[in-house]
Amino acid sequence: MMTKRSTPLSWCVGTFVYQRGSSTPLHFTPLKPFLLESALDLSLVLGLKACADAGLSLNDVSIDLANWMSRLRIEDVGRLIREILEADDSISSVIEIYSGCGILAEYLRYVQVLHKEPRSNFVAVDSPDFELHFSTFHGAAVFCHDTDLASLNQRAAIAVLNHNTSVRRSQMPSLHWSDALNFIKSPAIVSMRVALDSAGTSKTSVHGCTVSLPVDADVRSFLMAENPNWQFCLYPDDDSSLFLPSDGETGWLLGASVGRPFSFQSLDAVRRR
Amino acid sequence: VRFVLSPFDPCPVSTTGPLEHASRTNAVVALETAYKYQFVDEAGHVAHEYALPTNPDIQNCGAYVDKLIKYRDPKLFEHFKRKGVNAASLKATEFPILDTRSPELDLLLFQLIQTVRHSSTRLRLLDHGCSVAEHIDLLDVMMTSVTGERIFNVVDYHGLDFSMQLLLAARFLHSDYPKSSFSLTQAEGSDLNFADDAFDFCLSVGVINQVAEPVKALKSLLRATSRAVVMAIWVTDKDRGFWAVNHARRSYYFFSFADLAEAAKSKTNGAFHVVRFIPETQSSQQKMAIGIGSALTQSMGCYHLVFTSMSQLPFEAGKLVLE
Repeated sequence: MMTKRSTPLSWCVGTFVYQRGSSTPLHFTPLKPFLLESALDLSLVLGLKACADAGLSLNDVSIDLANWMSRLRIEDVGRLIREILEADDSISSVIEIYSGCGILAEYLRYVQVLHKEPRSNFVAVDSPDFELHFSTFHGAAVFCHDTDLASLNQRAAIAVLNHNTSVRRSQMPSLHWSDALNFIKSPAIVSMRVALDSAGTSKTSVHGCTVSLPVDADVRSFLMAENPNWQFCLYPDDDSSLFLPSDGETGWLLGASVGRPFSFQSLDAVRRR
Repeated sequence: VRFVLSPFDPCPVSTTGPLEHASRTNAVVALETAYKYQFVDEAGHVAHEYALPTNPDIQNCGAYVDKLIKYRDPKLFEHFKRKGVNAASLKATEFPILDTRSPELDLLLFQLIQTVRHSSTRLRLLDHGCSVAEHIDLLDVMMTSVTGERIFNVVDYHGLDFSMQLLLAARFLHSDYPKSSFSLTQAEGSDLNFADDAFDFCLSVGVINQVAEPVKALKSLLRATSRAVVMAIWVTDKDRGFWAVNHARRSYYFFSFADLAEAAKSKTNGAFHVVRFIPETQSSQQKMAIGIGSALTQSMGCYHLVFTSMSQLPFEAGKLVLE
């Protein structure tokens, strides 16, 4: 029988100040939760909004915000969405599960404004805790409480399961990823943090949350049963330090399907990276 | 593996801070900062780290936006309708965002506005270091819940901040405010070329400590304001004020009482009134200043001050006696 090892660790988060060249901190200021990831997310939405309105690239305006967006894998998901929208003009909406404050919604607006593309409708699905934040930025978009997911109609919409952003929260969402997986039908996109085998499914995030990760192969076989045309790219987890060190490797799984054979160029681009 | 996590301070404050000596000399100390999570094992070794982008402007912007959005929660309006706008209603456990420094100062300003607003003229408000203009949102909720009137029907708001990022956010988040009663200016906080009595009220929450020329800026604010300046200001009881660096890598000046006395002389009428004093050792943001030891920290604290010539104030305050 396997037993759980108990590992005591001392924990802090904040500003470490060093004299240049030294690795011994001179000073530490603890940071409150509102100055951490949620603050970065909100700034990113506003940064994208400002860039769209000014016709500027986010990379040129703030490399820190651009790097944060890369860490969230928003552009990779956004490219796939645009590819599907371009390939099928009967699709006019995006449904994002685990939308948070609406970074993907804002990114789509940003690229669609910069490229003068038609705007897609957006439906955000998440905990009511995010409703006020999402609505402040995306007044015209619909916010659906995650408890009402089953009542949503996916007709003429791409479903996006943004599990990768949900594992970053300081409180795990009430909607389990398996229920979200059950909802989505092609055309759809998944961006998921996965365990490479069953040894790595239980992780502890730096926020102290116990995170239950799906196994890569299980997600693939589940989705292939929904539609055999799903395509996937498993990317090494370059954000694996989000989790405290424990057994089992993790990865980032990006998958997409339009329900028929289709060559996703943006998926190939991720594979080549 | 099950992790048992307990909080710790990786760099406890010593009696004399490592940068105190440098601050008394012409020494140049190059500092690097990193925002990160750190985990240390029982042997004291760093077991794990997770780095976040280290850009205080980005973090601050997001934090202020979060605060503003919480102020706009319709439940907050209902709360004020039910409980009234007063010091007690700021202590509600369901709205922890209210039990912080800046709502206390917003309440003082709101009470002052309510005292004088019977006059027919519009009131002019300067928000010194306005960030995303979140103060006007809380004032709006307070005003609307008490009188049913929007704040921009009573007050002409003028926000001033150094950060274009914050001002762009402020502009977006207040796009429904009439342009005639909501204006923003990008300027350094001591670059204040306002006419005497250009404003009825001024609000400055900790900003006066962070500007390039703090005493000059304080004098300018007092001169530019006819009725009351409401401020949070960090003061030392040492004979002379001193400069430090805060955790956002910004120069930070701790005023002396002599500085306040000098600033008060720039206005022919009016005096500082103390509404509250919070010793730095009891601050909610501990260890804000880098490299300052516990002995010097004990000399510091945050005063909630109102500078005014009004004979009667709508809240309890004691006149600050300055030599």
